[in-house]
Amino acid sequence: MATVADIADHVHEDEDDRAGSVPVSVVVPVYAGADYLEELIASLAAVRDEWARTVAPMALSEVVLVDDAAIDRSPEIVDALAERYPWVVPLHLSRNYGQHAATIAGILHTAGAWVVTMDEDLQHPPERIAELLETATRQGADIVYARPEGAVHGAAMRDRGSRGFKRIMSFVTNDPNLPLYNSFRLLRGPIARAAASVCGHDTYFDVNLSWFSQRVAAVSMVLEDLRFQRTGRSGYSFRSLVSHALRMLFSSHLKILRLGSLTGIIVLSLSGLGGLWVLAARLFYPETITQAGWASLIVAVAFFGGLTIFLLGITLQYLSTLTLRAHGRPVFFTVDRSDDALLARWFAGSDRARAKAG
Amino acid sequence: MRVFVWETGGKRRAVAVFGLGLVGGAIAETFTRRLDRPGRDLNYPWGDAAGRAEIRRDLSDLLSGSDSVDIVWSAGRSGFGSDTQTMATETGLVRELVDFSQSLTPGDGAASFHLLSSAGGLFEGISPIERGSVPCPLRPYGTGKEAQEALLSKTELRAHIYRPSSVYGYRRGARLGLVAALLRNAQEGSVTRIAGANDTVRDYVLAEDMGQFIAARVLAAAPLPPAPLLLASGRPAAIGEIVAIVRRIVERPVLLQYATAPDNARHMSFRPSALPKGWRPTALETGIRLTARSLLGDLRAAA
Repeated sequence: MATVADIADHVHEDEDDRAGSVPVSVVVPVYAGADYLEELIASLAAVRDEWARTVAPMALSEVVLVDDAAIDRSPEIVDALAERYPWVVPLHLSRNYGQHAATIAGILHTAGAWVVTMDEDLQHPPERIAELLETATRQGADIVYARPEGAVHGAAMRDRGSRGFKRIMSFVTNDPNLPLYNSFRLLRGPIARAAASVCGHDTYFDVNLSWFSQRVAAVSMVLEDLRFQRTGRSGYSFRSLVSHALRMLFSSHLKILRLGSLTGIIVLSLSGLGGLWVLAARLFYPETITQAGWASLIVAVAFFGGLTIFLLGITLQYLSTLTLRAHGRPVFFTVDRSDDALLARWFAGSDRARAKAG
Repeated sequence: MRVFVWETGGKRRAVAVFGLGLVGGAIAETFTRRLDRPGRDLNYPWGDAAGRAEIRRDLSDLLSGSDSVDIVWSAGRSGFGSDTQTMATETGLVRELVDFSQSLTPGDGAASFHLLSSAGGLFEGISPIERGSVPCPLRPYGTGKEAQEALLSKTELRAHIYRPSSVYGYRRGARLGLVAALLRNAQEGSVTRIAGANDTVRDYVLAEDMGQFIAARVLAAAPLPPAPLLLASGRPAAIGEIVAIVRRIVERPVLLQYATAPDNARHMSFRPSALPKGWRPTALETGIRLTARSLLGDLRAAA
């Protein structure tokens, strides 16, 4: 078993080429977190101290607590924590805007090279942040999601429903990463802030992120929504889940639109072939036509139906393109990943130290 | 330069604001509003030493007999790219005014000198900047600002030092900063050259906020701060975010040219806990909208 000292001794080798710690910011939207905030900040403080003690090349530089017009004593607790810890940044929204908006607001108040978003209710373990960072730097990813192992809510119906919905949305939006979407995520700072700055009321933050990077990774871990399991209450109401789903739909480039256009073309082509067949039958085999007018009618309906579907599909795709542009989808975005090598080396060194000690 | 002389509670008070640019103009405007008087403008010839000495003599006469005198220096014309010579010239001008302020004999003993320094110059590349952060300038601009602060600290004057982060806003005739340049160029369809990178994180403060804060401190005869005051929003913002906000406000394409070797791309951010009490920075988007309103209004009026 590696001790902290083992790892610290080993990682000193890398210290010379470290220009400065890579800052990591944490964003926590707060709505009903009075029972959890003290413990959450204590856990984050432990992570912060651990990184400092092991002379890690990264530092947990700030925790932005976004009070989304919380319904309990959270605002006072947020202020008290900010008094106690200078690295806790209190942020009070003027009214309840929802978790999505609170997360955006928090991200736009960060300055870290990496940004972690997590829930208030301890379902996301702060001690796994290093693992998310390790995965990001080793795989060169810009976005790392926590992938829940097993049932998060402890309610089969709820968990299956969530997974099923994500699969359907993944198919409809043609986004293979959509099932990974999770509020416990590590994001490269510039990408997080860029995505947050173009994120509007009707756009889904994770879809916005996909506009800036396709380098997505995931780390499997046990995540338990203890609040839901204990109280049956979730941070998400049915209404907010529907709102999430709609936002996801409206900010995605829907594959179904392309399928619609394709269907229109196929029907149009078939009606053309049918028309030729009807014409040929009329000219060369008139005796085969027992009921005059039916085939022509079907062909005409199919032709105009196909044409309508095709043109509608094209129009909707055009509209979708305009909507994405209005939502701020960038033409390009540049990113600097030069710090990754330093972190990856440090994590590799930690592994070797652990292996040697263990 | 604008001078305000007024009486309150049987005492005669006087304030002279040197430099009526973005911040100085906002300070003077706040005085005008709060004191309900326009103030008296004196043309301080920055390039003519003899002319400056003459104006200082006139000013000395104007300020004599005052129970309290405040001198506000907001005339810095240097920027991140300024060389050592430019900074030495600016520091020389500060020295002249510091010496002049020491020669004044207000009723309360010593004049107050309010110096506008620069957090960006002093703490370039530090993130986050905390209350106890020690200045570590990386270029002549920061070294010059540090020298100006040191110069003031060694005097018997009541020294008030303000260290603003990146100031934005619009004032007719004043130099355009990043935000105002983006707004104007977007409106005119021209290209804005960005010396940083899209993801460069900075902290932006509205000039009007600074004007109100500093003027309020002067008018309230605020007690001396234990250390220079950091005037920042405590809310870092990437250049990309500023561009996105400008695009939303102007509703036109924002054409950009990023420097291939940016010389001003270091990140800077401030801990909210490092900011002084009573300092209420305007939210970034609101501030940019306010800037857009006055700038675009001017552009339309000129068209």
